[in-house]
Amino acid sequence: MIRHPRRLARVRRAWLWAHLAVALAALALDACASGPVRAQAAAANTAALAFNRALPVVVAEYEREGRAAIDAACCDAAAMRTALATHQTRWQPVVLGWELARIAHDDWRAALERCRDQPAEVCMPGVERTALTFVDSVVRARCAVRVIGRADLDPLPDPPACGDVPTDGGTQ
Amino acid sequence: MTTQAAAIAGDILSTAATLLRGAASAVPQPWGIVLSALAAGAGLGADLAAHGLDPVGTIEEMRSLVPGIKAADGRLADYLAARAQAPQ
Repeated sequence: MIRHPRRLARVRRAWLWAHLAVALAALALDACASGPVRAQAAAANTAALAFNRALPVVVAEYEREGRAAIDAACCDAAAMRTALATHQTRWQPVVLGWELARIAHDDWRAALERCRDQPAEVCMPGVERTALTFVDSVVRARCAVRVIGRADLDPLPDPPACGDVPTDGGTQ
Repeated sequence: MTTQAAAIAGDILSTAATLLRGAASAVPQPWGIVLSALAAGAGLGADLAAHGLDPVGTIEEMRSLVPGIKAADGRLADYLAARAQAPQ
């Protein structure tokens, strides 16, 4: 039992200094432990969340347009089958673009996973390379939805640079 | 500082916390309280090292569009068949 106020004050100061020292040490370790890796990991996570959020919307719109194409050709069976096939062909670049982006994202994730066991200076070149590949694939996927006139299905807000490819929807 | 180094630091802090707690019970007061405070601080640091210093964290997996499109194609085929059979 501490009876003397001065000793109590010293104990309290020791407690505070101990916690402060450990907290500062932990923060220093955190600062050293790969800010660029953390930023890349956060970006990869956010990108996947954005695409996964958009996925059911894309599927629903694909189906809605398919039904509209069938209705427009109703009610001869052959005409409706042709309209549906045309619709499916029109959307193939969108599906392909999405899958290529997904494969690139898997590679990016795999490169980041290696950063759990490797220092940042060793794993980061692979992370940066796979990140750039993902970015390229995302641009192509976004351009694919814009080519069919569905900019509203682009999961990211800013318009991508699609080169000379017309992205005003074209004609069916 | 690598993730591995952070994990090692966490182990060191955890060990230090255990030693300090043991020492705190063996020394006279008020030094026992001081050592307990240091042990608690070291334990906090070990926890931070174990849970807060992984730079990668959890990365969501991007889902494939293909299963959803295939399911939609099945529904569209059913819809087409129903429209073809419906009275004009």
